[in-house]
Amino acid sequence: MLELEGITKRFGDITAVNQLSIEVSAGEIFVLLGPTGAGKTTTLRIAAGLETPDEGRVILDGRDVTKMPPSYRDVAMIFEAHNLYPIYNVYDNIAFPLRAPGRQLPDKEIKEKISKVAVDLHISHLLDREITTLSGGEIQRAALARTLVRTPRIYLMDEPLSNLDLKLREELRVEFRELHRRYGATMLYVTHDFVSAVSIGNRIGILDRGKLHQVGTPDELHQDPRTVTVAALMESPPMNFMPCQMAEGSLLVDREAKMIFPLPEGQWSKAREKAEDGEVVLGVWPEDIKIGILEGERAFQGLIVGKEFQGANTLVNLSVGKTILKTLGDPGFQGEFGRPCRFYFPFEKIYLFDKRNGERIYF
Amino acid sequence: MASVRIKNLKKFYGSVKAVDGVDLEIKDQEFVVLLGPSGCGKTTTLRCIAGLESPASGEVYFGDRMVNALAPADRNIAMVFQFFALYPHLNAMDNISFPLRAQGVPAQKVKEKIDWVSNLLGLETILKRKVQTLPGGDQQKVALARAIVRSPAVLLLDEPLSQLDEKFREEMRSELGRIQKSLQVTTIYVTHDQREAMALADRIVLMKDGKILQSGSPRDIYDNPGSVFAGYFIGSPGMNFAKCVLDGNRLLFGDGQRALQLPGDLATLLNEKGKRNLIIGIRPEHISFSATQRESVSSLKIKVTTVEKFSQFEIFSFRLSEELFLGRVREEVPEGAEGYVYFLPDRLRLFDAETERSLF
Amino acid sequence: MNANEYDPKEFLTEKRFKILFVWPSLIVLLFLIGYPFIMLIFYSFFRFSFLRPAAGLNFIGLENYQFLLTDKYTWERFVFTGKFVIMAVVLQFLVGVGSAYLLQEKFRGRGVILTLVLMPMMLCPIVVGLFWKYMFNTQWGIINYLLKIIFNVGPIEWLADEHNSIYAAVIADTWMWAPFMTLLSLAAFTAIPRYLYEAASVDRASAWFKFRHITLPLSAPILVLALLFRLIDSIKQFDLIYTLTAGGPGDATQTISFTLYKIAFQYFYTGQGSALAMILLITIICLSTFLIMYMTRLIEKQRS
Repeated sequence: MLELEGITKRFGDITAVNQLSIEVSAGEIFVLLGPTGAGKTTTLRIAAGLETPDEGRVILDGRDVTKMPPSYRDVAMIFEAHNLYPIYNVYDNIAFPLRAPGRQLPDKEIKEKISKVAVDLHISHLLDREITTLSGGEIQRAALARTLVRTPRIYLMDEPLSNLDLKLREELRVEFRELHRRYGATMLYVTHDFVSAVSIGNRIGILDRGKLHQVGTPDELHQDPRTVTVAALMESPPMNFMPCQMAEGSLLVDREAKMIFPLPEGQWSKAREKAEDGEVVLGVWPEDIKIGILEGERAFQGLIVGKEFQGANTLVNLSVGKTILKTLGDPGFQGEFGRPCRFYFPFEKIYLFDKRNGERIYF
Repeated sequence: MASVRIKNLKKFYGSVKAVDGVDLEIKDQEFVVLLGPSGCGKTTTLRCIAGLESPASGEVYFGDRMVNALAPADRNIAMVFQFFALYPHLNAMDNISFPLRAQGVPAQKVKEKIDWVSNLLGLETILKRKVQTLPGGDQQKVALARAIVRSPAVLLLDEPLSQLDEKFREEMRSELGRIQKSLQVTTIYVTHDQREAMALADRIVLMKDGKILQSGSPRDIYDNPGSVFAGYFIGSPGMNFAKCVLDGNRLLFGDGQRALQLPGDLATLLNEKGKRNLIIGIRPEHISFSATQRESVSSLKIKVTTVEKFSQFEIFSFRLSEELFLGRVREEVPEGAEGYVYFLPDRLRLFDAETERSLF
Repeated sequence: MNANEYDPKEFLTEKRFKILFVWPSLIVLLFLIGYPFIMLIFYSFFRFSFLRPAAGLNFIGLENYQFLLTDKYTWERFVFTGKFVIMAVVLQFLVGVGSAYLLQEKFRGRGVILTLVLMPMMLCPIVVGLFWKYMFNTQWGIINYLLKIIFNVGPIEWLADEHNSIYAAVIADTWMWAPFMTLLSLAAFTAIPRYLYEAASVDRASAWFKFRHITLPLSAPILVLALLFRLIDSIKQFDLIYTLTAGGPGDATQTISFTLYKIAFQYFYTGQGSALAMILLITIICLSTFLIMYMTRLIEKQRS
């Protein structure tokens, strides 16, 4: 339904978007996840028609719209900074797109559509309020209502929840998913917040510095990250990375911690090719690390340098060699700051990455 | 001794009761977090402790000394602000050394202190840089350095991480915890982010509408919220709540359509309290799901509406008494499926429907 | 509007539509400014006078410019203008910043005082020149009267004395334009966030320290802007001088603008006057370029 083909956009010396190609299927929520400055907003603006790409095409429902102005594309966009008009009240703001020339709808129909969307977003009681009297969460919901009241081909969303308090964001996230089910809309959603991305998106595209690293469901990205960037963005917490050496058929991470993994036969040569000077980056997910191992079982040694109670679990930071490993323990974890701690993770849970370009080494 | 005590503090802005009778005791070297939504009075309370605002009534004591009349400069406090508040055209080192120089500390001592604090916070590489050129996280580190270089009696922080990117925030959270432990300074920290509160606090003071709702260690408040608001506000996602009616040894939901059996002792205790209209509270991770009904365990029949798949767990939602409940489980839950949910009995919390306060 | 209605070859595109709206004003501007400007450049290369057109148009090339730029008298006028401008602008700056500093905090009656302080700026320069002329009158002017009563000084010859007249002009100009500095400084000061001062208080900073390390650096961009504005404006100063001293006594307060007026509209040396006008114009353009470059740098710093 929306296809971005080889999109490249430069601003002066900076390449904001670099050969980006993604496909959003009808009824899907596609999330572009990446840190600030990754090029997500630029990509969205190109999809909307607010910017023209230097290279590549934008194809909407089979038609090449790369040069078409936004008003003809039949898309709806919600910006990061809300775009409500302060001189109108909430009702008129939401009605605005429905009253635009070229899209005239009879008043009765307008009223119906607005009532429906207001109920969905819990703002029916706010319809005749002035924008300036609304709280942050209410503004965001009104802005969402304004976008949802139309039924365009595709919704383009630029971090609509980022300006909200944590609690409000949590509430709206769940509502968002439910809204999507009900409206069956197609969305291209852009954010730097991992939690929103994973909970809202059907598929996620990881974008960093203008380049698309990988596209997949949250599960796929978690099981099979193709680059260090992808694993680092799939919080939380993100993957732990440790430098390690490949020597004589084993992976050596840290002698003191006794972290040595014997490499199975046949795996050695394949992986060795990719390692520069025999050095690779070892990655392991925090939840794959078991801590507080009993005596008598195989374990590595680490030092507790941080402990954060998170409600359903405790984040425990272990110092191992020069790295600090993030691990997850039970809420009742007892270890004290500065004490040694035994931990373990099996060979099967290890990911290897090329030290030079962050690409995954498969073995 | 750097203990802080506040007695019946009140502060008004016109007719708005920003702080409405706050009593608080903070022990020496304790890390206390004032937590609450915007407008709950936490920042105003902090500013009264700092001396930047004068309370309408009530007293502030540092140790045994009442400090109401003292200017901030005379209270031996240091403060880190939300928007960094660094001297814009000076470099990091001059910013950090300023409070020392203003006090007339000799140059040699100043150098020692700067070395110490920049070592502690890892600022060696940025000391000479103009603060306006530094990214937000580093600016806040400099602000923190400036605050602790004086070895104040009390360290006050007003939402110091709210202006930082997520990544920085997590980093700084760990740093702050580590530093406070090594400095052993009495710390009062204000935030609306409950994750920060839980990660850093020795004790959380939960505030709402100018009053203190509950005060306790993160685990205490998490496991035993004294009010619906405490259960909702703390924890991500927060506690689930639904109205219900006590009927003998069952709880009835949604006009009696669904019922949950209660364990015997809990039922007895509840009936003793004499309240019938209750609110049930249960955290998402204490809910489990199964497609078929398990014998001898009390369950509720539900339909799964949405499922969010995370890497180590899944969050599914269902409706109970018109409320949206979230459950957190390790196994897969199919969207739209019908099945049964179980609440861990010793994690069930019950609140009075009228006062919204915990019954136990 | 949907994709089916889109016609990429449409004639009246948005761009063209915008240009259509701009044309009328452009033409008026061209006529009112462009034409006289071109004639100005034209005449500057000739010996010519409006009063005696019959004497004809004598092409003399750059002689007008040569004359003006080497003439001792003209240079004295430039130097004087420089002295006047620097004195006036510095005084305006100090008074403006100082009064803005005092007016920062809210106090009872602040609104009234602010209005009074800003009023001089609203007056017409001709009017200002006129009544200052009366105020500076040696025998019955109020300035000398007050000086006599309060300090037992005087009477001072203000406008008739060639050394004092410059001070009179500076005072009158400052009175009129210091409020401009006050206004801009005040705007700059109030934009500074309060928590910066609070942090300084907690750090035990003195009032002077706060001014030097917080107020000044953060308002510097706007203050410099205001300074440059006043500089450029002062060079063009005409109305005030015309009514206050008429360039006198003799030519003690003759700024370069006044000189231009004399040449062009008293002696009617149109050619020479045009040349002087061009020289002035180029000087001001150079200074304005600085202003614009500075402003652009400011805007870019803001954006980053």
